[in-house]
Parts: sequence; C-alpha cells; structure tokens
Amino acid sequence: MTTVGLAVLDRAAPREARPLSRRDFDVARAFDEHGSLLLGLAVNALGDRHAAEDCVQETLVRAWRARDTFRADRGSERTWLIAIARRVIIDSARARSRRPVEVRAVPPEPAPQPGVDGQVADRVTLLAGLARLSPEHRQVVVEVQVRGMSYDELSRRTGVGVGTLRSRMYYALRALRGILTEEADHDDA
Amino acid sequence: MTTPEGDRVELVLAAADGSLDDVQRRQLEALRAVDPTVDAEIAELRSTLEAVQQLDEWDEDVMLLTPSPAVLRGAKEQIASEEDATAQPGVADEPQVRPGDADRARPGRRALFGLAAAGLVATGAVGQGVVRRLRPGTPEGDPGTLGALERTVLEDVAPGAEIDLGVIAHTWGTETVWVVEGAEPGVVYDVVLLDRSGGRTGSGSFLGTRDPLDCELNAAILREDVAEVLVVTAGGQVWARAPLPPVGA
Repeated sequence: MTTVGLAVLDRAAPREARPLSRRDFDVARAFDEHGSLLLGLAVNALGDRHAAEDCVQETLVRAWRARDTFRADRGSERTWLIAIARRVIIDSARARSRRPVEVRAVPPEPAPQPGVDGQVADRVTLLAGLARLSPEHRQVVVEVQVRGMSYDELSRRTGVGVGTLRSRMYYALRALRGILTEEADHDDA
Repeated sequence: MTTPEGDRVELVLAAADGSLDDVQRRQLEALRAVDPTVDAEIAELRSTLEAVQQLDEWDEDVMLLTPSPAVLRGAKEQIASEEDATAQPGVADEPQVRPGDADRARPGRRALFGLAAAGLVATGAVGQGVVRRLRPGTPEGDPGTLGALERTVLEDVAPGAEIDLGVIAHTWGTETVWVVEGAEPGVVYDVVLLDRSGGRTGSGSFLGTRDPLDCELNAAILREDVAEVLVVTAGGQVWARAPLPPVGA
C-alpha cells in the first residue's frame, strides 16, 4: 500500500507538480554509476539487503523529483545522491526502530526517549560521510578507529608506510568533519 | 618559525588521538605561539574521532554489491508513472508495484492518478460511540496523549460512506482505529497520514466489505506531526479526510 498510496499523493500534490522541461536526470546512468555506492551505504546502515535496495530505489526516485536542485557547481552528483540517500536511510531506520508492536497500554505509555531519532540520524550521517571518502581514506579510518587496529599492523597488511597512513587519517578526519558540519547545516536549514 | 605541513599534520593528529610524545609536545607549544588556530583544529579532529569510534562496524565488501535490476526497473516505473500523471491527469495507467514486492500487487488494481476530492461531502459529525466500543479499555484523552483514544471529526467522506475514526498516539507512531461502512467490496483503500509540511506516511490498506468493517492501522509518524488522515481510493481520489488538531492546541 505504501508505495502506491504515496505515489498518488506525490503525483497529485500541487506543490510537487513540475513542468517536464526541467533538467533531465538519467536514472539509468545514475544507477549504473552510483548504485553500488548507494546500496553499500544502505546495507551498512540498515544491515538488510532488501530494505537497502528499497532505499536505493527511493533515492533514485527522490533524486529525479528533486533534479532541479542539483547544482554541479556545489558538488558532484555522487555527493548529491549520497545526501539524498542519507535522508532516505534515516527515514527507513527510524521507521524500523519504531516498528509497531501490539500495545494496549492502560495506563498510558511512558514518554518517548528523547534523542533516539538523533542517534539514528547521527549514525547514518557518519556512515554517509564514510561513504563519501575515498576507499584508501575510509580504510584507515575504519581499520584504526572503528576496529582498533594499530597503524603498524595496518602498515604491515597494506604495505603502506605508517606516515602515509597517518596523513590519510588526518585528511580523512578533516573531510569527515566538513561533511558532518555540512549535513548539520543542511538539517538546520 | 614555520612548521612544515607534514609536521603540522602529524602534530595535530597526534594531539587529537592522544599520541603526542615529549618532543612533539614541545613542537606543538611552539606551533601554538605562531598558529592560534591549531587548538581549534585539534578539538574538531578529536570530536570527529570520538564520533567515528562510536560506530560499531563498516563492511567494505558490501560497497561492491550491485543492486538488483529490479531496483532500476521499479524506479523507472515510478518515475514514468509520475511523469504521465503530470502530463495527463485523470488518465488511467498500470499499477505501480515495487520490485520484489509481489505481495504488494493486487490483481485488478489500477494505478492512481490525479488525487482529487470530488464527490466528498462534509459531515462534521461522527458516531464516535462506535469507535469507543471498539476500544473499551482505552481511556480517552487530548490529542497526543500517549495510549489514549482521541476523538476525531471527519470533515469529508465519500457519498454513501459512513466512517468513524479514532486516533491513538504511541511512542512508536500513530494508530488509527476505524469503523467503515459503505466501502465498495473488494476495492483497496489506502490510509495515508499527512504531516504539517505535506509529507506523507503510509499506514496500510483495507479492502472494502459488504458489511461494516473495523480495523486498526499503524503509521510510523508521531501524532504531534500528523495534520490530517486521508483514505485514498485506487482511483486516486480522497475518499475520506479527517484534519487533526495540533497537539497541545
């Protein structure tokens, strides 16, 4: 029901009615070029291939709807799609975290725990930030900061010098910092 | 004094991850004297590090997965349908089905075009006693009261239909409790909750029945965010509409 019902509203809502002469968005090309990246991000965030594929599809559709908002001078299409995917995945993760259960609460339920939505969003934003890094920069962040591997061990495994790895870490963290700030600004806007 | 870029990078990172040795500490002190921005950068890097360290895992292998072709097919179908709807409002089309979700497809169901409210009649009155009897153990409460039944007023319903609707706020979302009479047997009706910015959250469907039906549907949107409850037909028309008051109003 959800897809069809929402599609009805999407099509009918006057605020979303748009002329067809807008900038073309080639969904097939976007799928070919960025599908794996979007799916990988969604699987990392949700841990569910089926739900992740739903997110990729929704991301492509939302990107098509929002194609007027893409500005090449502000960033790549890849970055733009990841930003859209981030919001789609946050919506999906929140919905999953609130999956309805049989509740017949009398007396009324306790108040919602504040900050849960924020935690979901923060995690997805971080993962989206990682997805935007180059594989080499992502590797050093994940191996050292997430998995706790030492620089020496990573150097032995990869053949890359410790100094280079630490330099990659610095620039990766700088980039992540910029991405997180950018997304926070976007959310506040 | 100037510090080579490579040395500065190492000093800042070492300060952020707590691995400074004595020599580096002295170098950092000297750097601070000529570069007042260094402490802010260290703090930013440290907070980013702390955030990343909260992640449980990252699986690089899944970055190589290729989405199913059904994903592209589904996106194309949805886009084509929306394009058609914009170009030719009111013309029927094939149903939209998401890839891999065959269970969502219903034989004979037509795609939905041009959401319209034609034919609705204002009611302004409801038989809330019916809904009340459906949930006798649930206390009544003001809008947004967790676990309490909120009375609603349907402003528009399709001719010949009688609908009673109750709303219950939960921590996980919003539940709607329905008694529906006059729905066409076998026809699919979608329930959609609108938020105050026009966003939509689906809340399941029901099939029309010959006899009055009662059902309870859930939506992953908090009551405080819901502005309106809609029942939408497979023909794309709003079959019933219930605006909800703001929580705390």
